[in-house]
Amino acid sequence: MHTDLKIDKIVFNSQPDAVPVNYRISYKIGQICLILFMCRGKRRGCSVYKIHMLCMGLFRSAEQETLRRFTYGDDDIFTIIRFDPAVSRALNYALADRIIFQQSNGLFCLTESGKQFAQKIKDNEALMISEKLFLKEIADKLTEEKINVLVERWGKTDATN
Amino acid sequence: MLQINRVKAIARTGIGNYGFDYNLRPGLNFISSSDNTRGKSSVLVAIYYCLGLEEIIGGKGHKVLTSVYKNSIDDGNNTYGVLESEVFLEINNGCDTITIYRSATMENRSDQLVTVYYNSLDNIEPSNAEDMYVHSHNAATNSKGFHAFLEKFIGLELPMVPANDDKDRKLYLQLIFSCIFIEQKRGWADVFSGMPILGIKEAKKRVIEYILGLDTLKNERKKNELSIREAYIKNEWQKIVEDISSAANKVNFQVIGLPQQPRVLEKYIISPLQIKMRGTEKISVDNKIEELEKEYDGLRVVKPKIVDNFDELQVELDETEKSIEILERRITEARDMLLREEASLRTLSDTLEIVNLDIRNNKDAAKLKRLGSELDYATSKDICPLCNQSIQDSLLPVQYLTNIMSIEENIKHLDSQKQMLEFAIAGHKENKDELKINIDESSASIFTLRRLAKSIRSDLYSINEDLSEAIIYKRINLENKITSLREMKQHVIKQYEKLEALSKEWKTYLEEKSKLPSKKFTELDLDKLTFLQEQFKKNLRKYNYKSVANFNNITISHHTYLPATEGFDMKFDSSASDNIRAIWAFTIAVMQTSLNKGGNLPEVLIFDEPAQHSIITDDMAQFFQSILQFEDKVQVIIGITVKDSETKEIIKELDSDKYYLINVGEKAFKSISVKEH
Repeated sequence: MHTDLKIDKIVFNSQPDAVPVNYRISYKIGQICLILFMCRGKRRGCSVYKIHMLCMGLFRSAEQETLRRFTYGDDDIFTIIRFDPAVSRALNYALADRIIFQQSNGLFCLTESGKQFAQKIKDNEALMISEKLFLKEIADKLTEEKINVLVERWGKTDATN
Repeated sequence: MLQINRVKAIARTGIGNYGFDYNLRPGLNFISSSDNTRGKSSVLVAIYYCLGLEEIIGGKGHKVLTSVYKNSIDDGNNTYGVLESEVFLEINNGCDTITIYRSATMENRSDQLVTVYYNSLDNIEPSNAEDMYVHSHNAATNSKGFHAFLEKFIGLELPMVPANDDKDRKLYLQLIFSCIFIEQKRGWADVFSGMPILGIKEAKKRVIEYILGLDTLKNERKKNELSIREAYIKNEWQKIVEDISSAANKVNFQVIGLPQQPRVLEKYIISPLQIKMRGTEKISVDNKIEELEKEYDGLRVVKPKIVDNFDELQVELDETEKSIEILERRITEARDMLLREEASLRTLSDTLEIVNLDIRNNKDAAKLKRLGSELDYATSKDICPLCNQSIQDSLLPVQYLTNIMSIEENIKHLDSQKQMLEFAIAGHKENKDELKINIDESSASIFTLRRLAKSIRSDLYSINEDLSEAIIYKRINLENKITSLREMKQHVIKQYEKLEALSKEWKTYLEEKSKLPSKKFTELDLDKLTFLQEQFKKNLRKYNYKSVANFNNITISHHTYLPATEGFDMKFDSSASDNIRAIWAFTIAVMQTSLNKGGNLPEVLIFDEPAQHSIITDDMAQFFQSILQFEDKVQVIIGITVKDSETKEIIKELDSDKYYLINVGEKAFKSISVKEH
């Protein structure tokens, strides 16, 4: 049909890559701030384990269920802490940007400006709705003690177990 | 027309009533005091308030009133708390006189309530009164809305104009009056600066169009009306077309030559309507009916006995069973496809859900980024907080130096994915519906064929001499089919007639649309605008406007209808006192134009303290002169401070028959036992 149409070459233009929202710096930092803000248990601050666990919970709804059962003391649940490199990088950025700081006991805390940021997120009712619901339910009940028990088991159990 | 006859206010205190009661006359009225106290304002505000126009002063309800209405009265020696206060206003439209009553401070009576007595103030009686509302939802259009009543009473007919929310609203009365009631504080800032903001698009422009009675408004309204009519015809047309198609579809026919969009249906333009069978045969409905009738008649001639046609019956039974088989196969295929469609619908819907969630999360991310940059976070500005180099907004390890999308781009990207998914889902849904219809149709046919097979079978094994059940069944079936086809044809023809009627409406619509003027202004409009411009310039010269070198540069903009010099807003290079002169000149010019060229302005002007910014008294005298030229055609109320001898002189120089002076004195509210005039 199109005999007069001669194609010498085809040029592809590279398009910018789409980045999933979970790997956006500001989104992740916002999430971490919200986590730190909504963990208002006895102790100030959150361990790096807890941040990773909650971030993963916010990432996947299946993980949320596991976390929920672990928090409410369901011993049958097999919990592992997944370390997400993206969370670690976001923590680094937040530390450098003076949004959070690390206390001498190793726990992370919000700085004054971080608190402002988190308060703004919390006050905006249209922002991160399901996240807030989940954190309200879990954040305080998932205590550092429970996580520590889990972490301590690492040394004792091995792959055969 | 509108004329204010009398204004009266009462404030009740513990020791007695205070208030004022003034009669006003046609023509020029001065409400004066020797000092610039709030007495004049208390009188003028009563007029605004009773007419429900207090938004021109700024604010709604009794809070805009001066303190004598709300808090306390000071009689020079003591201060008394105000318990209740109320205002009466008697107005006349050239035919009827009514009295408007509105309470200012009063327990158990809302300040949104206005009572209209259909008598003069001296003769008011509760039996001849009606309660109405201001500043409530629909007060401009509802029959219980005071402004709807006032509009009718003055004899205005306010147009519907486009509002900011793309709906049409009535042009509010407050906007019209803000051009002729120049208030002391806000009114002298700019031309029409007292105009309240009520969500009307280009309010100043619309108001001037209305008060000058420009045809542009009429044309725009006409355009509006036409577009509504267009939408209506299109909608009706669509409905009928759908109805025709579905009626034909039901009996497996289709209508060819049916225009999907409104058109002028003339025989030589449109190919004649054809109702044809679907599928490859494409027999027209008439032929099909004929064919069926022939078959039917054939059956009638066939002897309803079975003796002779055993072989024929056997053949027919075979054929029927074959058809059943084919149909069953078709149904199985269709069911198969239906399952597949449903599966892909499920997958697509799941994906759509994920995309929707993603969009929401991305929007959250965009908001977070904005919040972060409000707090001056380096990361929110795509800058590394440590080394201050620019970074990309991503937490993924950088393997290749590719560009990544910004969050906004990402949202757009996801939005287009969403659109694609929605499109695909709609397509699959359509397929699914079609398959379902096919299955239903085939099932119905199988049912019929089975009944037929059964009849044939019972014929085959029946004793001779019996009536053939199969033939009777076939005949009933044919009869039904013929009736349904005839009904369909009738229906289609009837609906098509409706289309023809609509097409006539469409034709008139097109004709009217073509009649709309292509140019924005009619001759008459241009005439009015030129008159306004000339009057404005004349007035400026008269009042000694100096901020422009050449008066020829002053024009009335054909775009905004406001004064401009060399295309720019005139205010920019006028001095403060010249700005006041311009406001005088424009307000007077608008009134002159409205009077001479048949505009819609109510014939009242209120100027509160026109002598702003130490205006020269000679110019003021000129201003009064141009007001006097209106004679009794326009009622003008001027609040003025007569302090220096110059002002006194100007007023004295005016012909004493031609104006009416009310001296308020120190305080507007006086003990009521003292008679006022």
